[in-house]
Amino acid sequence: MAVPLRRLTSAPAPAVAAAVSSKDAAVPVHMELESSRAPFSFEISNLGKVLWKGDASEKLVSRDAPMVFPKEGVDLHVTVAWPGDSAREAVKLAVTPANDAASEKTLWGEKKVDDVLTFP
Amino acid sequence: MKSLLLLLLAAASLHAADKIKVASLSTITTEIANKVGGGRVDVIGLVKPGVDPHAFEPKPSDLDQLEKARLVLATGKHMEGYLTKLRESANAKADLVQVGDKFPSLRMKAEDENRGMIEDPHWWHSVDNMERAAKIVRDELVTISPADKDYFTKNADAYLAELDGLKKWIRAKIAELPRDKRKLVTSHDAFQYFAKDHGFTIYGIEGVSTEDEPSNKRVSDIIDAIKTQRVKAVFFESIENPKVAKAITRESGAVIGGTLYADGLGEGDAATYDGMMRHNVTTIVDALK
Repeated sequence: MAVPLRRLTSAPAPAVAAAVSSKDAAVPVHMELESSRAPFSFEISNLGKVLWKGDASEKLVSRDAPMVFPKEGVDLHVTVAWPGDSAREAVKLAVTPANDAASEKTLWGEKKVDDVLTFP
Repeated sequence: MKSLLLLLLAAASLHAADKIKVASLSTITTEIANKVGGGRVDVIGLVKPGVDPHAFEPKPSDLDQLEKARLVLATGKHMEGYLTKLRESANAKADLVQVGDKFPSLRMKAEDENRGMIEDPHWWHSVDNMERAAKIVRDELVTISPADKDYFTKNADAYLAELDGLKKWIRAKIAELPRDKRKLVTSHDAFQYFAKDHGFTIYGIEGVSTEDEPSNKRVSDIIDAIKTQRVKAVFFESIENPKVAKAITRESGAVIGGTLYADGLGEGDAATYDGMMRHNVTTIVDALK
């Protein structure tokens, strides 16, 4: 297969670089975590980095966090644990990127849930 | 003492003769049969690890094994193109189960335009399909030996739990890769089921079969896609000739991401389904991050 030299040596077009940096910019994202029972402990990660972690004494907790939110969506790794012996519990995560619609997903489990949720 | 030894040997050979003989035409179905059948089956894997199942041709000795088998397992979805010939040649009384034919297929355009749309046979790259396949093999074995129902069910449950753990690990590992970077260029189009589960877009250099040759237009389209989509890496497959993929990396600027197992189990860390999937997922995520 012949390889034209100019295709190998030409620099990437500036327009592409600009589009990428804009695409990679973080936007404020509002997150709400609602559990069927309190207290509970939780951790939410995106791309291997912890975005939000804590112990909740109320059933509903919320927070705003900056996040890169491409049109293809984001995967959030969600871990929630309830102390003691618990029946089947549920936890709902609602995510609202700035200037965009909210979407929500629910996980069910006993004592602990540990799974990946895709938004939107 | 001698008579006790003879008695033990006779008992052992009787037990071996009692085992259900299973012939398997894929490394994937060989693993499932061994996991679910356990000590109650004697599984002969006719397609060995590292052998290209698209190009496999049974030998006369394979016909002997098929004639002795009570159950023959194939992956189905037209992967084993020689099955009709095999059934005509072998005096087989076995039940033939084409496992993949029992659940839905993804369809794809064949490299040869005259073939139109074809079924993608590589269903095992979705762990959900492996779970379906394990249940199908369990039910077949129970039908053959209803007395072993509890044993096969217990083995299948343990295997399903393993697969469930693997599925969680895969989801967590892939979550490390941004969804807009999930673009997979491989040396043949074998990862549609995986892509559908995890939000990847596939650019297969060859068609669905390793025997398909890529056209110049397809190669050129893939090079353009790599550049415009800013794909970082191109992957080879363990039993492929990587010549075309290497040329694509040279011209597109992408790097070589590593070797993937597409058509079945391999050796070393890919000798088990769990190991093969962990190898593929780690290779893909680490190269595209």
